[in-house]
Amino acid sequence: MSENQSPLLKLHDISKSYFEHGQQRVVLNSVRLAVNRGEFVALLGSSGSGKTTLLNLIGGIDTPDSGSIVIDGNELTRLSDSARTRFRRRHVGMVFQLFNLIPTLTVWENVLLPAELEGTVDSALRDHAAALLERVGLSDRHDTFPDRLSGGEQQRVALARALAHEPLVVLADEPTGNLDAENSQRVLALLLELTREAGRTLLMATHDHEIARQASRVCRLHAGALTAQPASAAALSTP
Amino acid sequence: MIRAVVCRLAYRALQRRILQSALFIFSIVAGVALVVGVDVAAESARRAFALSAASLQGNATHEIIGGPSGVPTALYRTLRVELGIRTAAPVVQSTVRAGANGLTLTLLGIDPFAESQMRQYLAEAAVSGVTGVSSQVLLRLLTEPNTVLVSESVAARLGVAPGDTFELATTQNRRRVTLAGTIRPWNDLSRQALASLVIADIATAQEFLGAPGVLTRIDLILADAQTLAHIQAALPPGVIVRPAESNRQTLQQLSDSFTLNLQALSLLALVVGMFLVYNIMSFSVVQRRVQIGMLRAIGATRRQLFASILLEAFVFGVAGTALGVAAGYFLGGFLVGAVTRTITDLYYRVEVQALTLSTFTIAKGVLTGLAASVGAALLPAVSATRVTAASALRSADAEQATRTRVDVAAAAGLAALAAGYVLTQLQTRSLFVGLGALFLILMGSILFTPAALLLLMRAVQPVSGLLFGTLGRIAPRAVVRSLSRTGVAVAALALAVSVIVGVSVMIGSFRGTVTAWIDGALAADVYITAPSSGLLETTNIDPSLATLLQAAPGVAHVATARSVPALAPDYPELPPVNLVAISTDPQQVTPARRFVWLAVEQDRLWEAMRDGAIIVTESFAYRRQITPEANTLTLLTDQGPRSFPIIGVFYHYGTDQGIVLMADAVYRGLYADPWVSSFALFLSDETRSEEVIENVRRLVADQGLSVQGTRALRTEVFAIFDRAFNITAALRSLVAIVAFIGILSALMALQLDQKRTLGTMRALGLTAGQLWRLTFLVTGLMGLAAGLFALPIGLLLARLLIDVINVRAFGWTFAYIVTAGSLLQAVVIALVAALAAGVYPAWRVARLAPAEAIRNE
Repeated sequence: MSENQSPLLKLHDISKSYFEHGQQRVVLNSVRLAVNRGEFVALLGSSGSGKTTLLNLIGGIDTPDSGSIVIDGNELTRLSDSARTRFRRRHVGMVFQLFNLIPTLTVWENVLLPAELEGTVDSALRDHAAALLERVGLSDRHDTFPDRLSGGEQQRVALARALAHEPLVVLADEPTGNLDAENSQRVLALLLELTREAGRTLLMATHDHEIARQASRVCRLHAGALTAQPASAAALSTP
Repeated sequence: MIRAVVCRLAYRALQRRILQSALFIFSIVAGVALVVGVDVAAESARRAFALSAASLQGNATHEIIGGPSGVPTALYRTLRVELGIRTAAPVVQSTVRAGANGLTLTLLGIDPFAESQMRQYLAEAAVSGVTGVSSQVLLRLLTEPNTVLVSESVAARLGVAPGDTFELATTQNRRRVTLAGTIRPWNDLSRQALASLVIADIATAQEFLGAPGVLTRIDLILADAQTLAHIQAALPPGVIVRPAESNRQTLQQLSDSFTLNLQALSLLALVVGMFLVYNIMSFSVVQRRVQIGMLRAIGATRRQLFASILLEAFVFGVAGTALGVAAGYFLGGFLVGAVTRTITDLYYRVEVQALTLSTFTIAKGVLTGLAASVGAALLPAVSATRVTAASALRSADAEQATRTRVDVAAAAGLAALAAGYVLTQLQTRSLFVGLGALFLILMGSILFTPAALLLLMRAVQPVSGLLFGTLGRIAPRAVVRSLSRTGVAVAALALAVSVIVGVSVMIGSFRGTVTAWIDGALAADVYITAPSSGLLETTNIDPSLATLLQAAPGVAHVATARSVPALAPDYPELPPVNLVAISTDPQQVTPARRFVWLAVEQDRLWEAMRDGAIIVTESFAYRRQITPEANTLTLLTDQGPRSFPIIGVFYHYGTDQGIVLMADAVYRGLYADPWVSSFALFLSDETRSEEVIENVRRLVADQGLSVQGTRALRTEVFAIFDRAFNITAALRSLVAIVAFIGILSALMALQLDQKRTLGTMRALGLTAGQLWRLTFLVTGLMGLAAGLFALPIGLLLARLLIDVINVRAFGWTFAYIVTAGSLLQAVVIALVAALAAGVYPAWRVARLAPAEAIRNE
């Protein structure tokens, strides 16, 4: 990170805990992180380490118990639920492990959904969405409903949906976790290619060290704490 | 057999679905409570009437009755002295008003010495604390004029003690009587029996009623047919002997159609409840698809799964049924007032002392509750057995199966409609068959609902997309995607709203027809009647009052009518005929009278009637299958049986038992009956009617007669009309409440079903406000669909109610009147019900934490 460049995303002392059977379980403990524009940060950690929770907090679909999250100068933790939602649909793209396409919308409608909810669909956005679908190889499936697509195809639609409204940051939670090896590779390649080309910032939760190897930076979550590692070191240390 | 582990799994699943379990139980409670409640009310009224009839009838096996002129006292002497029949008891019976508050009681004039074998309550009751009727008291009753006995409870209501006097009144007499003693009932039956009786010696009663030498009837205990034959031979003209039971049975038949219709409506509530149970159980199976698939994979048999689902439904059914029977008993307490009021208004006087919860009613409630619970769970249980481990994870399979079921349901609907249509075409007058046809047609139409919903949502999608954007496109697809839930919920709501439409249009049509009829029927300006105490009870007014009325200022013409029950020997299974003898041309009294058919010119009608012809009402003709070809009626007159030609059948909605109109001169020539029952006054100046009414009221003040202008009478008729339909309207509302709960449960299910999708949409930027809008779009579409589907079904239902059910139940036809307002109202009700039911689910959805909702399962 150069000294004169302010980070796009800044997490300051983020803590989050849940209550289970009357017992407090700390998931994140004073997590700090700064991510620059265009950076690809891999979040490594075993199952239950808090990767998804951290992405949910950054995406504003969950709120931390304490600490602050700032994206592009907007302090998410100070925003109301409604303002956070509006921020999310304008500036955040999300890719989930289980694709989470809306079953009642076609491929095309799924891709346009965030912009449609915002009410900002115009011809430029349509062209962009069409180009994205072309890039993910689904230009002939605009009117198809998700239940007619394979897992790999569904995740490629999800990629197009995450990028169509040109977000500041893309959050991907184990995006290949539910795909076979061939589809995993294809989806990953597309995700990296599309975010890099557009200069998008990408945060990806994964426990795949091979994927982490391609990140510009790797952060490891363990026992609620986040430790930053160079990509090569991360790849070498197996949990 | 079901293994414990399967039960344990089911139990744990239930623990997580407390609300669904509660809704299941509520659905059954509501359905069973209505079935039991209506039965309790109807049964209590029936039992109260049976008890009071039995108390009046005592141990009699037969009774001798006459027409309007009654039975001559001399006949009693003939029976005892000439025929040597000792088991005979003379009775004089009439409705009287007692005490300062005008308590309505039945005056029973008896011969105390003939009573010991006939009526048990006199023999066994404790009179004034002394067990058995003491000879001293009986002697007082016989020797002292104007002495009476009442039960302790009646004495308390009148506020009198033995030795006190109180007033007894009829329309032609008013007198103070002395209470000779009080009767203490010895059990509940005798308490009910004595609850509305005032007992006097026969001579006292005859003198008080102004009918010396006339008996109402002679009760008999006959052991052999030979004695019966001897009696028959000794009877004077116009008098018959018949089994004692037949009177009560024919009277009770009067209200049978009324109570059967109520029972059918209550059964409909149970059917709506079944829809809910089906919805809840099928959702429960869908929710547990993965678990069921896993169980199948590790060795649970189809039979075990089938049995476990049914067991679950049975356990809930038991809970719902038990609560439903209890709730039904209390509901019956609320309904009984309305039921007895209507029966008293329309048929016979009845006063319920205690609610009756018969074993039959309990058994009916239990059987219908359990059958509804298990029956509605059958299909979901079958679908549970079809889950395979491989298909369990594919949620689309469940909905695919639903689409297949939509086709099956539509086919079944077609079959039910065809069967219903065939039933309506059967040459029968059976109300049961009519209700069966109605049920089949209603169910057949409802089974089409899911298929129609599918089509409607496809049609509506472009429009809603245009109006509401993405949410507008999502909403109809969400309805279609969860068709297994939405289809049944919309069907249940459509069923309830169609019942509202059908019953409302029927009541509206009836009201409209009655309005038109009464406007034409009430041509006189003032009506003077005795307070009614029942359809077949005669009230006597002194005819000399006519002269007094004719002389009253402002009165141009006085018409009289005499209403009496007359015996029609050709129809022994039907109640006596309501014979009305009129003194004036019916066309003058009712110029706008409409005829179903009339065999003579209208201007020759009165002439023909004065020659002995009669006209009858539509319901009278229906019940006796009178047509222009089969057009005679035989009545038992004081001069023996006489046949009368029927020259017309007219529309009349005053009583569903029908009436016979005869010219007064003809009637007086055949019956030795001096009395009249009502007067109709035609005024010389209608604008002075209030003044004349006040004046006439003063003239008849002593007789306790009711003097009403046309407007007041019209109001009273509609008050009775509205009271008769109050209970129907209440049941209709209860059906709607059950349907409301149904759509609420369906929406809750839908929300659970779409939790992940909604969570994803929240994560992708759907605001809480947009989520509210989406939920209301979905519920609004469901409500709109239910409202739209309910219109044709409701109108069809109204047609069947008017053309089939009402004709068979009451024998009258009326115009089919549909107003745009009532149709719009139905759609609005469905829409508002759905939107209101959507509030809680929308609130829950808006509070949904997206992170929780999209968490990997």
